[in-house]
Amino acid sequence: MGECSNKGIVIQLQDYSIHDGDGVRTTIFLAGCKLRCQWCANPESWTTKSKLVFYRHKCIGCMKCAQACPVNLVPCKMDRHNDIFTACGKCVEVCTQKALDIACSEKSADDLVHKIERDALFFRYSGGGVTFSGGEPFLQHKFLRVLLDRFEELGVNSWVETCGYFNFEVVQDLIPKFDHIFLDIKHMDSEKHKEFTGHSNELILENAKKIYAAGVPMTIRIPTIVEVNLADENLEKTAQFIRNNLPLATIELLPYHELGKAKYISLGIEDKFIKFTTPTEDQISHAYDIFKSYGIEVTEYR
Amino acid sequence: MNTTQRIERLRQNYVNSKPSVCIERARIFTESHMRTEGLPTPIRRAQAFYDFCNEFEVKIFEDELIVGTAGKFRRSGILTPEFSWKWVDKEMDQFDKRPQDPYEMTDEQRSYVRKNIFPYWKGKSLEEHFLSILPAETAKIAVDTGIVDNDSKWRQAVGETTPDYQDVLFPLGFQGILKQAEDALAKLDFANPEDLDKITFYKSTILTSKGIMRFAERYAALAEQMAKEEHNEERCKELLCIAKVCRNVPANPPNSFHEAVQFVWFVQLGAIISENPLALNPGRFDQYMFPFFDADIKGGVLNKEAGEELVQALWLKFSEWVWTISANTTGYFAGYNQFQNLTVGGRKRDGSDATNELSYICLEATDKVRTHQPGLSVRIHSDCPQKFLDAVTALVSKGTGFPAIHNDQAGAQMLLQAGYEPEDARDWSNCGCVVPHFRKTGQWTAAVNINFAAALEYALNEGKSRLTGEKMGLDAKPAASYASFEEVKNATLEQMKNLIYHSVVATVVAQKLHTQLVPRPFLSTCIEDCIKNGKDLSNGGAHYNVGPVLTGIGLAVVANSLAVIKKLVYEDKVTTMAELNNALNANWVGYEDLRAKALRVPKYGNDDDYVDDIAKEIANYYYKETRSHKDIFGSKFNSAFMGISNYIPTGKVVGATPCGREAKKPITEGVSPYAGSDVSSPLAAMRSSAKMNHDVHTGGTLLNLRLSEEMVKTPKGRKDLGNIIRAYFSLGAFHVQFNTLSTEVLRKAQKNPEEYKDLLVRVAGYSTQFVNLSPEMQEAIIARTAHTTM
Repeated sequence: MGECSNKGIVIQLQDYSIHDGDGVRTTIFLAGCKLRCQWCANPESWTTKSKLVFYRHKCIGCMKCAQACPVNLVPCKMDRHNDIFTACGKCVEVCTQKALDIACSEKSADDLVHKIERDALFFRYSGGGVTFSGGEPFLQHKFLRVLLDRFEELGVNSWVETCGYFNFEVVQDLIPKFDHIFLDIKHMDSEKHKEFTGHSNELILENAKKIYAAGVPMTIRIPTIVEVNLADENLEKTAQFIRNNLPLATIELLPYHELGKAKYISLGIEDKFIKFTTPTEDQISHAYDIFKSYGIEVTEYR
Repeated sequence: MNTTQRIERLRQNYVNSKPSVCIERARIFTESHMRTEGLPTPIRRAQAFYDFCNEFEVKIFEDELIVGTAGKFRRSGILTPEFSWKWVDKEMDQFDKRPQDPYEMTDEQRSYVRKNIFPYWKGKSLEEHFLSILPAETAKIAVDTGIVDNDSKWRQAVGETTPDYQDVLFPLGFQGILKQAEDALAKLDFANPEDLDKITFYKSTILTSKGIMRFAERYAALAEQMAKEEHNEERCKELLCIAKVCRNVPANPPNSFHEAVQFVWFVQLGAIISENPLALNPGRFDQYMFPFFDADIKGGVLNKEAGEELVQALWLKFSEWVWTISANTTGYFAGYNQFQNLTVGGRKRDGSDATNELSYICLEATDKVRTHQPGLSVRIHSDCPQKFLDAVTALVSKGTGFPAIHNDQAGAQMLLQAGYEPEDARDWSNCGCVVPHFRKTGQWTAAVNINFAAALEYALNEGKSRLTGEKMGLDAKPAASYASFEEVKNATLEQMKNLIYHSVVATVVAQKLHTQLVPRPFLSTCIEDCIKNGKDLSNGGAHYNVGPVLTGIGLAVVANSLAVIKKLVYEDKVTTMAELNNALNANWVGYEDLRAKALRVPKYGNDDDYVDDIAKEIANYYYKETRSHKDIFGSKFNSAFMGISNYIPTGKVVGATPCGREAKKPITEGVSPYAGSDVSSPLAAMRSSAKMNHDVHTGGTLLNLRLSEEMVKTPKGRKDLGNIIRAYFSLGAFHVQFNTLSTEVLRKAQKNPEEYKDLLVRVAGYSTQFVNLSPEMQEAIIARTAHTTM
């Protein structure tokens, strides 16, 4: 039995999620991730630190946020990347325009159980449940350990979406508690993987095999990006890896989208946003054909 | 299923033509009344009906299979001066210019009615009688105020009827009904004083029965004449077929599906001619029509495509006629809406599943022809076939706003609560927008709209309107002197009680006048037991007489506002009643910080008990208070949280409210959250709504939600939505309806209305063409939170 924690850092809870598994699900986005994928759509998830979010188009320049700031910063001028800045949220309270918000905050297991208990009605009718996402949810394994048991008591099934980049040994006991695991494989070429995500892929591929061995149904998800991983050679290699190591896993391609850009802007890190190209429907269907030719089943949760 | 070219041409005509006022009905009725001075009112109304059927120049338009109009134009609105004419006189010069629901009317028509029609009705109309009798203290609150509104019950006919095809119309035909009336009349004696009213009643129904049959015969004769002159062989055959159909129905029971469809349209027409009704419901169409459909398919006289074409042709007929209403009334019932509610699916009288092939054809017809009528409702029960629910969510995904989705069991429960026999309770259908109803019933299902937000305002503002300063409510102490939240809440309920009282007064005065001035002989022949009892529908002749429905408007605004007072004034003490009152008087100007705090207090629609419990308490109080009153037949009044577009005019007369709402902005409809405040998700909004005890509000409850089209784009998304609906209904909730249009699409439609003429949106209890809504209504639709995933 590993360590437990009744508290964790949550980015957001999103109920009525229909793309994160069977039925109607509530997706719990847990903060923190070691990868820095260049196409990441959830930059608020990179760390567990609380972050100030600013929606410029709503701001009327009243400066109430500056008056409220205990460390004399000007939140609406993006004046916040500073050692003394703690995202205490005082400015959010006084903003009359709802132009400010805090991303990533501490929540207790009780908070989440309360919410999930209310959503469970919709799970029961739709075959849905909870999906942990992030960030990389396994980084908060102590919190996850508590939540998984609490949700099981509620009769709620738990799925997880992971990038695979974590220390397997410390989360080993959690794997069998999931009803389904989504694992991302972003690139088969370790150098390329490092270039685009900041880390090589060996740990991820090793973890993929270990997770698979636990016997939990598994779907490999590939964020599909024209400039990154859409070349036939990479797709073939990915398919071979799945066929050879994860023969019963299914595949789902997630075409790149630009919707994350608004988040980079609101976090004041617009300079970190990199625009990639969304694959065409033909490209996606060609990619699926490659996986199918290896006998890999396609499952789309959409 | 595809539409035929014929349907497409009919549809284009409907989409592209503006409704026109036809004065023929008013002219013929008025001339007839001039000839019948001195006779009993029911006879005079019935004679006028007969005269219209006999004199009106009937027309069959190009491509029509189902024939008959109540006016000269395909899209006609008629005038009923015996109900009211003053508003027409005042407003008709602006008919073609008004922002909501304009009509075409010529100067020639205007001068004719001013010279020849209105003078006759001066001092005789229902409106004038009502206004002269209504006590002044009620009139102050109830006449064109937006506080207590029942103008549709004294400027218009009641409508709100579901003709009984199952047990009366189809088995008997009007020939059979006529015979029943004649037989009953033969047994009566003028020497028996108690027979006198019955004799009058039977004579009136005999006249209307003869009238509607005469009307049909004239269409048959016209079709035969047109067939002789028709060069196109195909159309000639059709005209002869139309003639044959009109020779048989509605005089006799229908022999075919085509005849049954035409029968339904003649009954609608009969009621339109009688009274220009709101909510004349075709009821459980898939149930009473299926035997004819099935027999024709099996007998090889009809193929499925031809059956679909007839259904679609009827949908266009339902949509072509327009309900002529005042500018004030359009605020409450926007979008040329006639509220002809047609219900499919659900359970049979014995409790087994009732869906059949026609249920699906009806859903598809609404998708294909994209008409705003009929108001399509579905009943979903726990054991409803998945295929049917899939068809329902498929229609939802098309963004028409249809169908209105109802919980079968909750509807039956509401009828049991209202005193119906179990089998009849199971056989319910919708009336108007979301009122569970049964066809053998006389009831005013939308008697009054009551502005809850006004009650709150009077409690906080010493009984006065914040916008006009006029004393409208009961005496109340200054806001600053309330010592506790309980006191504020109780003062609000006290004001609500007063508004309910005046609603009752306005209703019973109108009810009494209806029995005297505007009896309904034609509709009395369509509802069981009126003939048996020898009593008009307006006088309690129906098998069931159910109490009038009072609709509460603004539940969420009042709950949200009371929550703000509870939290900010009495719990957190960050403001005082005095300061809050000043802020409201200033419409929040200079109090932006306080408003920001108010906006952060939990809002109804997010599954937060803090505020939902307050909403529940208000709703329960409303139910109990409403039920404590009785109508002129001794039936208890019923409560409802319905929609219609009433949340906009009611908002215009209320100043800023503590919830953060600014003065004159819309309030809220039904049990729906305040627009934009249901920020969590539709699931939370459903959970909040379900906390109200829907089953006791027998006048119906309404929840409108907007869904991003993304959520229902795929089969999985639609399946998930179906399961969400099942889950919501398992909580005992009654109704939910979705607008699934992207804001982007709606903005485009605002910019290029020409390209989006057929875009249907859900307004409240119904759908209508988006481009037909005033800019202000369009903004209100867009403002509803679009629930979407990231």
